[in-house]
Amino acid sequence: MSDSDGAKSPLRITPAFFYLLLTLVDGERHGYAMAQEVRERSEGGIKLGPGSLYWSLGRLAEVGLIEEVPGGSTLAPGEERRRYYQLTEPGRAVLKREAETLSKVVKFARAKRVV
Amino acid sequence: MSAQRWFRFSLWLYPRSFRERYERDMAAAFREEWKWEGESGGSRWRFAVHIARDLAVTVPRAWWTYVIRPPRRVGPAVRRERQLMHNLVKDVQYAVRGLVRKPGLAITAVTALSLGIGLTTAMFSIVNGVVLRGLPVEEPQDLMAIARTNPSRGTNRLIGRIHDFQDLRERQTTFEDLAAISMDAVNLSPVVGEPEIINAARVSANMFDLLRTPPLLGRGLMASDEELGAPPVAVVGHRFWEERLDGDPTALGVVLRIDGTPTTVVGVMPEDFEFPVNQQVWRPLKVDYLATPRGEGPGVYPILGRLEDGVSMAQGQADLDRIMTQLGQEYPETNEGMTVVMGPYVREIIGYQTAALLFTMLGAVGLVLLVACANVANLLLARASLRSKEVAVRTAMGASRRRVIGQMLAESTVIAVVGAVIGVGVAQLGIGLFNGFLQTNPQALPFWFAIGIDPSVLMFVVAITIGASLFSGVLPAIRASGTDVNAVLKDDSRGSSSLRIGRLSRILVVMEVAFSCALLVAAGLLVKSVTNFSNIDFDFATENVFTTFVSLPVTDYPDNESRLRFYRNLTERLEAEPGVLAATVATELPIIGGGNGRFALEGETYLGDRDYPNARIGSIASGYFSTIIANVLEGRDFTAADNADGLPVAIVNRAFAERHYPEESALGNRIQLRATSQRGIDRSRADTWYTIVGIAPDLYLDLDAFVLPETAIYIPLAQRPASAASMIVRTQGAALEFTDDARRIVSSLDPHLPISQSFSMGQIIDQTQTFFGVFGIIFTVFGGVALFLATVGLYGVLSFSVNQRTHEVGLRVALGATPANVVRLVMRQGFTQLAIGLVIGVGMAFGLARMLSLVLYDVGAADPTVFGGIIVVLAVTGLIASFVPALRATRVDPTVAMRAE
Repeated sequence: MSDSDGAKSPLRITPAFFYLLLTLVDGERHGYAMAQEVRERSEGGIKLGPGSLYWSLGRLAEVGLIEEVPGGSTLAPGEERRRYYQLTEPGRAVLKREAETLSKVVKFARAKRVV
Repeated sequence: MSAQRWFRFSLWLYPRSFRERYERDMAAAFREEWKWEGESGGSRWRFAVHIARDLAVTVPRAWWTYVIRPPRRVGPAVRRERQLMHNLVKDVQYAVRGLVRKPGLAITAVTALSLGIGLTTAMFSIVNGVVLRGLPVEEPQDLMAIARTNPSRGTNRLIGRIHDFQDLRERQTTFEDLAAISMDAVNLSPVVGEPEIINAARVSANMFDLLRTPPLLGRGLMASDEELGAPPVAVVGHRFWEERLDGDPTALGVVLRIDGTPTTVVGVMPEDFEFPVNQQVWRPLKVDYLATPRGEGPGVYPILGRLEDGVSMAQGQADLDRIMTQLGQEYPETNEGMTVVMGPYVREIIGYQTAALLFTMLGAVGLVLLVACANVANLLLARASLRSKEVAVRTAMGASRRRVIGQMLAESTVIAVVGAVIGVGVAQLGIGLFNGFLQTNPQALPFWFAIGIDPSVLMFVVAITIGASLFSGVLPAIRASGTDVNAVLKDDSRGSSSLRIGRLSRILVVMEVAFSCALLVAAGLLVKSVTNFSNIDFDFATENVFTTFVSLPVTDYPDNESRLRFYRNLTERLEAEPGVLAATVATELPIIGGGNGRFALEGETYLGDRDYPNARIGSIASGYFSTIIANVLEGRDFTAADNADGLPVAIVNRAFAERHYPEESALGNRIQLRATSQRGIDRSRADTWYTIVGIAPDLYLDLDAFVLPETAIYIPLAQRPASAASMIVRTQGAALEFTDDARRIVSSLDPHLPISQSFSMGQIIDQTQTFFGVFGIIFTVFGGVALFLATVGLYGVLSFSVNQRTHEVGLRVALGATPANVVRLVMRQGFTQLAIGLVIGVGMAFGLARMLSLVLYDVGAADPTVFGGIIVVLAVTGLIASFVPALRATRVDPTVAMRAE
């Protein structure tokens, strides 16, 4: 999966993708948990419907930034079997670079007293 | 269908590879999101829009990334989907091009379907807003209304008794809880401004919790509020808060004078909450269970119950039945034979008959849609037969049957989709008109009535659009694709295939005629009923008669003496007013009546409570009949001497006399009112025998059964005083101009006393007429549209068949057929279809009319003039529609016809 060169993102990182990648930093999650955290962290700014969520996850997995945890993951009792995701190495690298770029932008914006 | 099911269904829009991979996860995400939205109080509407937008954005994306530009090597499944999509796009393009090339067909078909879909959608929105959606509270499907009934009397609902409620609540095992509701109207006298009558309810304190609706401000009612010594408190509605408390957030703690009692406002409910019907003030139901004998105390209607999760309605009913049986054994004297019925809250409250009527109308409009579909099917069939050669060539060249069907269906789908878009506009128009009618009396409407296009209506539109495109497309498609290739290609004239198509389209025309006949008969019956109603010659004054209502609170008017004194003073003041010709006070009004109850005829024996006959019972002051200019027909009118100390007397109406004394004169006979008919009336007189001294004309209309006349008993007000009454004033000038004078006079006698329901007699008649008129208008529109479509259909099929038979007709003319022969030849076909359609239609009309009998006034469900008239109208229209093509057939020039081909 991770045959892209890692230095450059194979996919334009939109805010939704960026948020989704961030939710996986602490470890594996299932899709809906990710969407929930995105909604909370973006303060309702990004609400991913089921279609957008799984289309996005499909895209991220396709280009190798995230991957499905093989064989699902630890299931809480009574919980339905669902797909769990984790960051790949290239994913982590892209995330780090994107975050650095953004923090520079934010620093600049602060200097200009925009925020 | 539940939201989850809808969502699962919509997942089929995604390409297979995407769907199979994520279906389960997406459904789970949807379920949790739905739950979360519900818990966080989000609007379901907004959520549905969010989901719809999500679908609209991601379905094309998914097709793009998974099928059109798939990640890497594609399997056969994706290749198949790619082919499918390619075909779909081609079919739609082809269909659109075909329709644009033949605008006549396209316009006719789209018009037919947009009318059909539009009317159906408008009607569905009404049914949805009134019945289907239920109360605007959480999980409304579990809310039940429970009412006392006596099984031998069918569906009649009786006011429940408070002790039964208490026992049901304690012993039941299938409900989360039960709450008692006792609706009333209260006098509210504010510190400033006019006193007013407000719809209110006494409720058990758990009602708000049971409805899962917390107050907007302050608190709801608490169990401690129900205690007998507790200070009086009230929760008020949002509208009340805005209009009377200026929407002031600090209004909590304000003391209102409600029915003479200072009452503290402790809470304000959120907007659009007026449970149980249109209430604005809720007070705790305080009952001293020990001091109140069983069977007395406040009447309860309805009991609200919320079924526990997983409990079915049948289980709930069985639970209640079990308790009622126990109570029947424990308290035979009050509970023998009594049971309770329960049903979904909304249906119980608006009544099953009204709900059934609405569903009948939805079914009727479905017929209009079917007629429209049949029309489109016919148009497409005609075209399919013209194209049979083209199709045969394509099939011969290897097009699969599925491809041919797909192509035909694409055509009907394009028509249906365009029709649906215009149809939603048509529906919006219809909904606007209907809401305009409802707005004539907005305060009387149940609070959950909200008629408009919401997500479930849109889902309905999608469903009927799919249905319509299938119904109008499948038959032509199968016909066209099933053409015998060899036969068509070999035979260069229009061969056997077109004849078979001809039979199918004739069947469709028969169906159209039948459905329009049924709808038109229904429309005719309703129009006649409305006409009858507006032409009733009332036996009393309907012009310049003003009526209004007062209710005397028991705190200020504790006994009969004080009430009668008030009524007497009021009448005197009214009569002294300039411009007043006559004035009186009564507990009932002509036409709409007041109360009804059971009574006994002297000399008859009755086994049980239910065996006693029923009649309207009103208490009237002595000037009643002269005020409304109705003459007592036999015997005498009441006089001032018919007071509390005089001989108890009664006047009955003509219907009463004819029903109960068919052989002899009713005068001099005696009747006794049953104790249960005496609610709010002095009980010490319960076993009084009243002697009939007069016979009055029939002044009533029973709005439930919609029959005239109804039996009625009048008793002198002085002998049966009531705590609330209507004033009836005949004025010199326009009746409504008297409203302010009436208010001034009442408040000069008692400044805290409001008047309400001020109407002229003309308005009372109008309101009733408007209500029934609306059904007439709706059905006339249905019937008119169906007639139009059926006529177009018949004409279309016949003229098509004339075109098809040009060759044959030419041959006949060449062989010596006269124009008359030709006309007969063509019209015979039209006539047969018409006749069969009418026979079936009349049969259907009988069924439909029976279902409508609830709103028919003085018209039999089998009214011969209406049936005859409609048959003539349809026959004439049908014959004209077939005569025009027939005439054209006579102009066939044999030389041209024979050469054509």
